[in-house]
Amino acid sequence: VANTAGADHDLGLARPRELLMDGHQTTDWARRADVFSVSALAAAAGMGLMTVALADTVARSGSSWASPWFWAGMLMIWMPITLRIVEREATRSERIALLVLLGMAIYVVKILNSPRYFVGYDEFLHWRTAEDIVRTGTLFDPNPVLPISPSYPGLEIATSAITELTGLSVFVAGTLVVGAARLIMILALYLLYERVSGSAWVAGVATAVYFTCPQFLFFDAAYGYESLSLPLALLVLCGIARRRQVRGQRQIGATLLIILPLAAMVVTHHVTAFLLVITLLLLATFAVRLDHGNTRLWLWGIALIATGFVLLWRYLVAGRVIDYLEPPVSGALSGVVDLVSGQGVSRQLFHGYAGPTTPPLDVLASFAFTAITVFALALGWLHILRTRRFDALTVVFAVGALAYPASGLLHFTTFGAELATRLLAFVFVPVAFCIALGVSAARARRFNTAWVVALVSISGVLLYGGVVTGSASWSVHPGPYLVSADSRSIEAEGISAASWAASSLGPGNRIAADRINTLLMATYGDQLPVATVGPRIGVAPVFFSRELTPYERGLLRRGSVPYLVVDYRLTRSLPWLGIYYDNGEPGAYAHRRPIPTAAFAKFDRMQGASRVFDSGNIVIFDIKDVARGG
Amino acid sequence: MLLAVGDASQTRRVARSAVAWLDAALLGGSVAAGAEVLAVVELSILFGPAPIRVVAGVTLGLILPGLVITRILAPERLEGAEQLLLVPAISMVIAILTGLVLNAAHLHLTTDNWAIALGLVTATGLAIVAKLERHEQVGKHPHRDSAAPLGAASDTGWRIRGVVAPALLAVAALAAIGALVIGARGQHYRGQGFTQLWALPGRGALSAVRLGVLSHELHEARYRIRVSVDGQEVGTQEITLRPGQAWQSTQPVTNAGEVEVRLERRPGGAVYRHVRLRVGRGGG
Repeated sequence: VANTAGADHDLGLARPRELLMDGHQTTDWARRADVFSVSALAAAAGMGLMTVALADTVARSGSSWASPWFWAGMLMIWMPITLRIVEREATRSERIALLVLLGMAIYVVKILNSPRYFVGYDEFLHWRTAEDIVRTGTLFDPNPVLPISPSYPGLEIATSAITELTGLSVFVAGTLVVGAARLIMILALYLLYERVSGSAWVAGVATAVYFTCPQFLFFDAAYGYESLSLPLALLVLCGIARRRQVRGQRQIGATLLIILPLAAMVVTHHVTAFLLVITLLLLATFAVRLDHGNTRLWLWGIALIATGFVLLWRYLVAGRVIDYLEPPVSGALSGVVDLVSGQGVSRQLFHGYAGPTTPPLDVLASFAFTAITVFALALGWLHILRTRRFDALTVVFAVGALAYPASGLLHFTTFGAELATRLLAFVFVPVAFCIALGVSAARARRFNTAWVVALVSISGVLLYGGVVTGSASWSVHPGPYLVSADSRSIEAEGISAASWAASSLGPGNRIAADRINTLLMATYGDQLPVATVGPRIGVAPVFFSRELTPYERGLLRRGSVPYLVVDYRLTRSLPWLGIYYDNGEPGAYAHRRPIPTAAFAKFDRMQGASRVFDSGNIVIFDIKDVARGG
Repeated sequence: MLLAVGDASQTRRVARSAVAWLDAALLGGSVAAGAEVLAVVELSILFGPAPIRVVAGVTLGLILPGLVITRILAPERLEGAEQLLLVPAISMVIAILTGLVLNAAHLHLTTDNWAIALGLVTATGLAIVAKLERHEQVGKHPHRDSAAPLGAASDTGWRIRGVVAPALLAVAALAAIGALVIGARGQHYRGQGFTQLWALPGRGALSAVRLGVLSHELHEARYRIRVSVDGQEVGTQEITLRPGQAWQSTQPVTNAGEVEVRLERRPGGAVYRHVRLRVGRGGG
């Protein structure tokens, strides 16, 4: 208690009455109050989940009421819990219980989007790797839709373990694994923030602020490697903060509790591993100047071990990771350079590729999210400077948070926008901490009901703004089929066509298809989708021309493609994500009209092609003779 | 009596020793219990019925290895949040590293191998815990709470009294389950119905065509199938399919040529689906 009180005094946070509540010692009546408030808020969250489930159900038939219902449910979950977390009366145990409740309820919101099967684009990519591991019992089998995925199989290994041990499907096992990862993430975030700040209040607020990160609701709850690697990386940082407080022989165990998750994280996700190595090197560097004792050498040791793990894994298994990461990173950077030098055209923000533009409320909320975040971040930096909190971890957080405003330019480039959004999950770890410190400085001066209400209201704006910043409005809920819109394009006819391919054509046929049917054929269909026939030579042009020219026949021959999937729905709408096939297709991100029907009808006239499957929208052609040059 | 008359420091020393002994005894008991739990879990995974296997599998995959390894690496009594963090986290870490080791040893990631490997890790961990505890019981005093953040141990454990809180928690659990049920039922296909028609070359016999129809219409549907070779109709058949029902047939074809299959919806007769393929020399 003394430590906590001291830490809070150092921060200028503590007041006499709140020391008891803000710290760790609780009285019996406080515990009873804890249990009651957590139970009541859990019941409210349960009602919120029911509302979200009903909203998603009506959304599937395209009801315009879905969005208000959905947000009513989300706010039923969010507002009462954050209100209690912000209040100074809440005890540490209560804060932790409420954060776990809030974070897991938000995870259930993601599950409710599709409780029966995967619908996220990245989920299909990793599902294929997991299915391959379960089917063959071996690692590193090639994945035709995400070749780098088998080189980082941590998530899929954990899923395979649960699938084999329980007999559950990969979908259910994967949902359990990501759920456990979500629990790890919530607790690791809280304990990390608490150890760095020395305050349960700051840790609680920082963790809640992190929940408003645009990637938190959907992307980092999806079945993808980042959903596990980020919690493991946070566990490593949490372990480092813990190890600094351990003395004597216990340091060996505490160090192993860092190295084990570090090793597992390195084999789970490349970007997280690289960013963690950078963070650890920064931490060790700052520790040389700011920390004392043997911590400095020890931190360098951890940083070098992490670097060694990453290099070793790249050398042994993931040799092509740089080739995989280079195009998006260089594309984003060259976009920024072009933009700054005036040679490039700025990407139009809030522009819809196919449908109406982003609703005005979402635009407003998105700007409000950015403005509030930057303002509170500035408050946090000022607080760190004013109170001279210059321990290594705090300084690393303060420096890391700079990446948030620095990445702003990326949003104005086509390829950089996705990169910037993806980076938010990492950048928000220090950002949330700095914001909480900034808010704590204000709390020290004023703490009344109006202030609490204002703070909770702002948090609601952050939640809404964060979600609409990270997800297009049409992707927040399920709904009727949309063309090339990832989760909104996964429906029964496509799944059924892919299942037919698995049972009737047999597994492992090379097959060319659009972006969505590629996913379905690779997973439900167990086929080998062909996207490219050489370095950066895609097969997409085959689907766009009105006549099959010798060049396109050559593409099919070079790709040895025996089957083509044609989805006539692509001729009826522009693609909601800007592309039908891939980034290299003709007119990518600039389509003015849908693919002409004649471009697909040409396959019916193609000599040597057989139309072997027809389900109305989806037609499959057998073009073995064409691919052989016949 | 001695304690009552002794000085304060001696009282504290004796009390600490008693706590240490009690701790060691309890921990020793939990090792034996842990071994029993592990045995039950292993048997349930390998031979148990589905629901029990699920519980046992989750226990071995996400709880037991982490519980034991955490006990070894952090023998001090961890506070609740840290325990809740480390147990699933270290379990998953162990699963990932075990998977890599199994693969490197050319052992397939099958149910048996996972159960044996994670069971071995847990059993080895339990043996180490037992040894460490014997060691501590003999001479060493456990360093309690040395890593617990900021005196957190005093904030562990909630006592639930009365019926209101359990009732509210039950409401929360029921509401969450209800939400999942509503969500799962809502995800049943509710779009337009569709029907699949396919035709593939016969297996082995070049002069045959395998035909199939699968109805995903919303109601029972009647169809007429017309088969023609090089424009000459060679067969026709009427079928009725319920939603989800399939029809398959093999159509013999005497001459090489282009086989065209048309599916018509009844009543009406408009062509609903059509496929075509070449059979015989150079076809299919």
